[in-house]
Amino acid sequence: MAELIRYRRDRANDFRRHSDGSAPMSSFVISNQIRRPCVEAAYAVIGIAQGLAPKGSGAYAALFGIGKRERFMFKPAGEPLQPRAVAEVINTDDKAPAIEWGSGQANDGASPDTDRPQGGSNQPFRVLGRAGARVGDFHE
Amino acid sequence: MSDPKELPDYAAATIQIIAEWAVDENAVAKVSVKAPTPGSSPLPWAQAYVFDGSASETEGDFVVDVAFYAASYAEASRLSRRFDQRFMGYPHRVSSDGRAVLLDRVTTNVIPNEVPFTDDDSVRRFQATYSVSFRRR
Repeated sequence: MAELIRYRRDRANDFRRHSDGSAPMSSFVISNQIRRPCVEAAYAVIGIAQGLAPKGSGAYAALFGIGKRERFMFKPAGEPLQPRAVAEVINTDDKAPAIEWGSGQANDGASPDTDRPQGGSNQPFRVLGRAGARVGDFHE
Repeated sequence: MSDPKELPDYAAATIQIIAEWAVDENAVAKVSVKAPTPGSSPLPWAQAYVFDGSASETEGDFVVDVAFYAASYAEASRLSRRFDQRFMGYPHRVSSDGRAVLLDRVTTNVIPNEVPFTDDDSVRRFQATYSVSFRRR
């Protein structure tokens, strides 16, 4: 007698969102398997940001870190909210906003008695903006 | 292959786009790559600051912060959102340093949002970040 082979669909490749109520893809995209490369990319961003950090900005370069957030809800156009894994790069220096975006206070973000390189007008450095854009190069 | 065209200053090109609109509507007092000095610079003030990008021999892209400074939240917000609407109406062709600059496509990376500027909120800043693709021509 021929053996009966029972078909069971492959959850990984035959995924239909919420088709059986368990939404397995959602738990997969926020799993450690997916978040780990996000964290590795975040450390790469930190390395680049520390290289770009302006000299004479006190402890700023030493205060980069990974934030606590592990997931966020992504909203594709015309589709429902979907979870995504995320790793955040943060800087906990009080002067971080002034160094990133510039501010209205002259020499905000500089060490005492040290002029910021641009002088008193406080142009943005965009340290994390530049570093974040670089990280894609590692994965291409 | 012959040498590619020298890149134009895309901050200047963005300033030109802001200025064309600002001159029409008398919307801002000055457009610059620099931030205003609180207390002495005229308001409203617009700033274009290019901080990233990549390019090949024929095409490329750049990332630019466009910030509007005004005395009130409402004014800075309105200017930033008006510019966003206008900037998204690509393609743009502007003249910068005697060269025609063509911007093919504009994507808003960060929508207009307030980024605090002065501690006493005497100058409010609204800022958006755009990714712009261009052709080297």
